[in-house]
Parts: sequence; C-alpha cells; structure tokens
Amino acid sequence: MIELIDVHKSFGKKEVLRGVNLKVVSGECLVILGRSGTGKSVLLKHIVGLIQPNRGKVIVDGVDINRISEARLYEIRRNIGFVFQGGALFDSMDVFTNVAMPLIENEKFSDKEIEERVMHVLGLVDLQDAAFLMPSELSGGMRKRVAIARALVAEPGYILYDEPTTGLDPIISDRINDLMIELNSQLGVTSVVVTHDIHSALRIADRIVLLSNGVIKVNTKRSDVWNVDDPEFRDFLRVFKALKEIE
Amino acid sequence: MKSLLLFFEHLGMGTLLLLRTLKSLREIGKVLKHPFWEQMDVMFFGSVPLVILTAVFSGLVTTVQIGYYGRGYAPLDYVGVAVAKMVMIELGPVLTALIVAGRIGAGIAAEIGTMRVTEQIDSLECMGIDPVRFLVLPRVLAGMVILPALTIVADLTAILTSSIAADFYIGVPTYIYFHGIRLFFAPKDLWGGLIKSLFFGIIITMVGSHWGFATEKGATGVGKATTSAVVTSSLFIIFADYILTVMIYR
Repeated sequence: MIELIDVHKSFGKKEVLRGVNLKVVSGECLVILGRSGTGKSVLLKHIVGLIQPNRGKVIVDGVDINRISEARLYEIRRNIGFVFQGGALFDSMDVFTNVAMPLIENEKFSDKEIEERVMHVLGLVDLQDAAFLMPSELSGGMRKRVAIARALVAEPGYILYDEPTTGLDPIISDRINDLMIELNSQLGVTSVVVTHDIHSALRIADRIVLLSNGVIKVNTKRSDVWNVDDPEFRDFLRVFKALKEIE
Repeated sequence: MKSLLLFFEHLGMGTLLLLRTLKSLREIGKVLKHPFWEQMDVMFFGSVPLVILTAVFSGLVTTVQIGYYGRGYAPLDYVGVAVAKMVMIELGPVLTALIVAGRIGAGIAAEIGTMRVTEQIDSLECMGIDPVRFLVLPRVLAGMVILPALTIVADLTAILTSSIAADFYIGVPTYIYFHGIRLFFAPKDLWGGLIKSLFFGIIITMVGSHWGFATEKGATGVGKATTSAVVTSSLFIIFADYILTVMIYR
C-alpha cells in the first residue's frame, strides 16, 4: 500500500502541494486527475522519493521512504515501475538494452533469462520487432510502450504512469489504455496514473481523485463519478460528455 | 553577492558529487565490466588527432622561440633538453588537458545535461540504479587513465616535431638534439607531468559531470552547462597546475 500523509511541497515561493492525503490500495488502479500545472507529476515523484516533501510523510509498504538510507530506498524503488511522460528512454541504447536495464543491473539473471523476459514484455506491448531499434527511430506511441515494457520487466508490485496518453493520437491512446487495464487485471499490478485525459481516466480507473490547488478535492469510485458535485470535476465530465455526444 | 552565493552553491554541489563518486567506488566491479572501456574508447580515440595536432604546433613554436631567445646567449645544442623539459613538465600536460576539457568535458556536460532534462537520470534512480556510479564513476576512472596516456602521446609528438624543427630552423642536428635530452633527462620531469595530467583527468570529468547534473531549463540549460563546464575546468586546470608544480618541482 502507498500512503501520503499531509504532504506539502513548495518550489521557491510557489506552493504546489498543500497537505495532500492519499491512500493507494494494493491491486487497484488509481487515477490522479487535474488540470495542467496542478502538481500531479510532483505528487507522483514523491512516491518514488525523486522529490522530498517539505512536510508530511510518504509511506510505501509501511516504510517512510524519506527516513531511510539510500540503499534501502533503491531497494524499494526496484518494486516500483515508473513510466515517464516522455518515456525517458536512454538515447544511447537500443530498445532491448533499455528494457533489459533493470535486469542487467540486478545481476541475478543469466543472459538467457534476460533475453526471455525482455522479449516477453516487448511482446506484451506488441513491440518485439522493434527490439533492436534506437529510441530516435521510434514514434511517440512506441516510446511510451517501450517505457511501459521497461517498467514491467522487473515485475514490480506498483507501476506509476505520468501522463501516459498525452500527445498521442486517440487510437494509440486507446491501445495504451487497454494495456494498462490488462496489466492491472491480469498481472495484479497496483497502478497510479496521473493524467488530465478524462476519457482515459474513466476507462482505466477503479478510483479517481482530483488534485486542485495543491489538495485532493475529490476522491471517488469510478462508478460514482456522475454523483460528484465539485464544479471543476464536473467540467472534466462535461468535456467527456461532449466528446461522447459527438461520437 | 548573488554570483558569490551561486559560486559556493556549485562548489558545495561539486564537493558532494566528488564524495558520492568516492562512495560509489564500492561498486567498481560493475563499472569495470563495460562502461569504463566504452568511455576509454570514446575519450582516447576521439581526442588523439586533436592532441597530436596541438602537440605538433606547440613543438614547432617552442623550438623556433627558443632559437630566437637563445641565440647569442645560450648554446643551442641544448635546445632539445630545454624543449623536452618544457613539454614534459608543462606544455604536454596543460595543453592536452585544455584541449580535452573542450572536447570531453563539454561532451560529458552535454550528455549528462540532456539526460537530466529528459528525465533519463530520474529514470535510472527509479530503477534503483545509482546515477553517480552509472554515469560519473566510469568517466572519472577513464579520465584518470586517458589523460596521462594522451599526455605521453603529446610529449612524444612535440619532442619529435621539435627535433625536426631544430634541424630545419636553428641548424641543430637531430643526434645532438637527442643527445642533450639524454644528458639532462630526469625521471621526475616525466612522472611529474603525468601526475599533473592524472589530476587534470579527474578535474575535467568531475567538472563536466557536475555541470551535467546541475543542468536545468531544457536545451538552453544544456548549452549553458556545456560552456560552464569548459570555462570551469580550464580555470581549475590552470589553478591545479600551479599547486601541483609547486608541490612536485619546488
């Protein structure tokens, strides 16, 4: 389980998070919804300790990650896959090596095991044929899928997605959504997805929270979203409805 | 005042990076497997042509200048030993380091800086990989080996071209040129220069890595980091040259 307790974060004079309280239950897919620039990515980076809060606690599997040694933090991070907004693939390595990286560094796996696991996860994201391409040769959607494969390869308990469908065309976005649903339901991975894409949120989420003005304003099950009164949340739903009507 | 604060901020960050690099030596086994050799390859073969070219001209210029200064005051038969000592103690290590700072130091800052702004370093951290061990340590170790190696190449090239220039411009035959070197050669001239270059190797790679890690604000930030890396390492090289010269030769 992941728990954020009264998390505050400022950059200079700008207060981004003003007391965020959030629980992510094992096995669920939680979507953090919010407009651009509201601190969603900052919140996500707190979960892996890339950013430390000015105040408050971030607890992963019962451990306050800001009060442990660097070695222990690296250990905890190995159980968390992180899919960055731009993919964050290593430019100098081909797709295979990018995906294999967490396994190579682990030093517990033989070359044969690494190859099998990498090709298996590349198969899951339908990119086995691209194994030996360089990141510069991939489209935006392919980069995101490679990033998902890399996050998956070490079989983590959690996967955090930072805007997984942003900047992609609707068809590729839908494929990414399907992939996240599959991973969540078939592999039992706990997912936290940061997005402003309401369409995607309503497809994949078990639970949706709305981050606004540095606090969690709405926390609802997907089945209850239409009963939420919050005006900002309703604005998101209005966009979704308008899209549906056009369809 | 702001510049002074910024200077101390970077000095502190650089010191922390140095300490983290020393700490990451525990995992040296992982580094020596692959990334170290890759860096050696990139640093050495990419720099050799530039270093040779610089050494050729510094050998020529030094010889012609010694001929000019020494004529009428000192026996020109000793031009060989004068050039060799100057090249081994000072010109070889310092010129090589300044050239390499422009090429490798800037390259390291640009590469790590780009990785910083495109979240590749965050990505390493998320995989539980220490970015200092992964990115900085192999470069520093390679720099410590490559700079002395390039300095030897520069020394040999400069002395060789100087011997030709001595014959051509001053009329000192090659055998007399090398006889003078053999007569007055002191091993300290060579190893002192190589010790200097070893420290220059650490400076160039550490400074480049520091500016890479400190990069922010996208492509503009990468450009600034690259320039800062070259300027800072050049200043540090000249400062360290003075300190080391006093320590070794005084």
